Amino acid sequence: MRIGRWILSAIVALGLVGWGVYTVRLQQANRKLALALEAERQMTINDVAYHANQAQTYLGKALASGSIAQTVRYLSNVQQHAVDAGNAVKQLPFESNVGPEGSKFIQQVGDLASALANRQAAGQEMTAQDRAQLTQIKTKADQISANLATALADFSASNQRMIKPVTFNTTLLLKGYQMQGVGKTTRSGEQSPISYTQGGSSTVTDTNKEMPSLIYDGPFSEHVSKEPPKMTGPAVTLQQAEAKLSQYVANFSQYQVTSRTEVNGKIPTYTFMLQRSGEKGQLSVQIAKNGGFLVQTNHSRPYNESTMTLKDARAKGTTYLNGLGFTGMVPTYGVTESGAATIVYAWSDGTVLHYRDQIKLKIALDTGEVVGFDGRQYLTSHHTREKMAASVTAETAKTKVNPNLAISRVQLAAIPNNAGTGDILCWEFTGTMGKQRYLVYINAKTGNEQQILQLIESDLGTFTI
Amino acid sequence: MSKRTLLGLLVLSLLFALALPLVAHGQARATLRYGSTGNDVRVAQTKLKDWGYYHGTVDGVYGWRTLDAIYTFQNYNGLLIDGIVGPRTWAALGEYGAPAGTGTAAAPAPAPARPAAAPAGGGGTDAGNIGNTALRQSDRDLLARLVSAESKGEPYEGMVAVAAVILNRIKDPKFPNTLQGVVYEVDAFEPVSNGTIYNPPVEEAVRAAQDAMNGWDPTNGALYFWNPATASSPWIWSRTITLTIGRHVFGL
Repeated sequence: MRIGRWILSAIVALGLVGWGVYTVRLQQANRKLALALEAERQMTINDVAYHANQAQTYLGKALASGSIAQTVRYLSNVQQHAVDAGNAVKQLPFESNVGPEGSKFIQQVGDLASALANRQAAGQEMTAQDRAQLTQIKTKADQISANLATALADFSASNQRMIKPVTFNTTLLLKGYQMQGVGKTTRSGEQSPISYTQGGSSTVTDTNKEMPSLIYDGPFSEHVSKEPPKMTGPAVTLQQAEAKLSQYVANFSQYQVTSRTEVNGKIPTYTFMLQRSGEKGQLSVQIAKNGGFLVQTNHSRPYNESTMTLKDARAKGTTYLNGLGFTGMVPTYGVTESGAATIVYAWSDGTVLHYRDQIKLKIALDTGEVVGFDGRQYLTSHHTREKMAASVTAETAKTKVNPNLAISRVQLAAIPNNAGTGDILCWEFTGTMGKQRYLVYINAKTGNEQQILQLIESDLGTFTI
Repeated sequence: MSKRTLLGLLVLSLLFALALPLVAHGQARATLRYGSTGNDVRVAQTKLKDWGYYHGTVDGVYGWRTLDAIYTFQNYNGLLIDGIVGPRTWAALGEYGAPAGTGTAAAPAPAPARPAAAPAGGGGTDAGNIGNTALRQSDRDLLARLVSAESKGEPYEGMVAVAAVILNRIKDPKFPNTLQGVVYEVDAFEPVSNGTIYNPPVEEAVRAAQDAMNGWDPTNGALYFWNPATASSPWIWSRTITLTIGRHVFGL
């Protein structure tokens, strides 16, 4: 029957269409799931590297510290991060030919740190043997952390994925979907020393965190507190602020103002975008509504090949700051990246270096012009203070510094307190242990160890952690 | 065809073949920076690979391995180490597209044999420092990829603002404590859910990420950003807005 045939064909056609739509939907669902799992895996693999790095850093501080109380604290942090690293490792399907040494090592680090911390808390100082053992562990931890970090950097940069979405090919037909393990090699071809372990996931929240050391933007520069700025002045109008541009921007006549906006928040500002003709990129300038101070600038032009070094850049920066009327600014640490140098300047009153009153400058190494200015911390903290005097002499303070540190410089420095609201006067000792440099701060009133910072050095400059 | 014509053609083609390398090298090479893509990157990668500086694939993407190779190359050839391949570095690479008088045309020193377990970073740095520097690089890459996916095509200041929001979240107790935690927080960012975060970042995004990591923040501490044209949740509009750039609004 003709009609019958038509109906049959229609049903079959509909069935096919339905099947097609179903397949497409399945494919989309698969993709979504793959991406969700990918995100989790990416986070976990980053966690491993992060916690391993934290553990290694605290190991260093524990070794560099001269105070029992601080050492206990640092060792507890080591243990915490070792646990976190171990947990993260257990959530990843590392390929099974990666050795079991790594996981075992992480466990050992945690156990040793815990045992030492307990002994110290009971009042027993670290023996020479303890110290030797800890140093040995640190060396190994350094290496593992470096391997992990470089493997991770590779991984990040090459956009590898851990989960490949399903694609329609013969392998799928014949063998089915193959779940992939995590890649195993570091840049130099070595196995990354983490073992393949099975197990469920557990989350341990890290409540022992110190200052987040992830944002490597200079000593004490994370303390951009919620405090209102100390430097204020009479309110300025948009026109008045715009009139100041010629004062703040070098070669202002070369620029055109292309837009004006406002930014609310702790330091309300007027933001101007400036354009130099023929140049790719704009210069943004933020001027405070209260007082008309320069708050931030950022020039977005790409940089050409460098013609000067970080050292030359420091001098340029100092000249620039003097020109703007900021006196007494001393360059502390600097980093060069992709053709620009970022340098942290701190204010000195002649005797004490005040880290809270800091200004960051970004200087292009092709022309030497200052392409970035960040004065928010300076605006927040700078004020006329009472002269701070040390109750403890430098020699007394030195006795509190770990004797294994080879000291190269001593100076008085005011560092932020934990809340970021006040200054703590300290003796700052710059010392080397092994191949790493540390800054040890001894409270100049109490004589106790206040803080340790590690200096990360490379060909590109120094930043602190 | 007569013998003469054939001979003529042969000579012409020979001359053409001889001239070709000069022609090809005569074109000026673009200045390459971390994050650049294109054929010139391929050219540089090929040269570096031949001389033993570069150990990755020649893919035309200027990433971490290429950067490492360029640093080493610049170091061993007496150039300022900045990762920027401009006329001087191109000349050292043997590309004649460089303006006259810059650099030498003599073959640069091929890479010395690398010790197996020491990634470059220059002399004198040890594992502790290498690890920290590499982590900073991979953080920057992650941040750059997210910024690129979220705000490609936005003004540079907008990119720095997006990066700053992400970094501000790390310090805020309402959000996770690490960069990866903030980036991969469930449903926080569209590019993670739709996979665009895995695309290589545009070059501006890398510089913007760097600026934000060095502390620059045009948003005055904002923790949120959204596109007013597409944001539907009434909650997001209850945030205090600090500024607007391009197609994004930033708020606390």
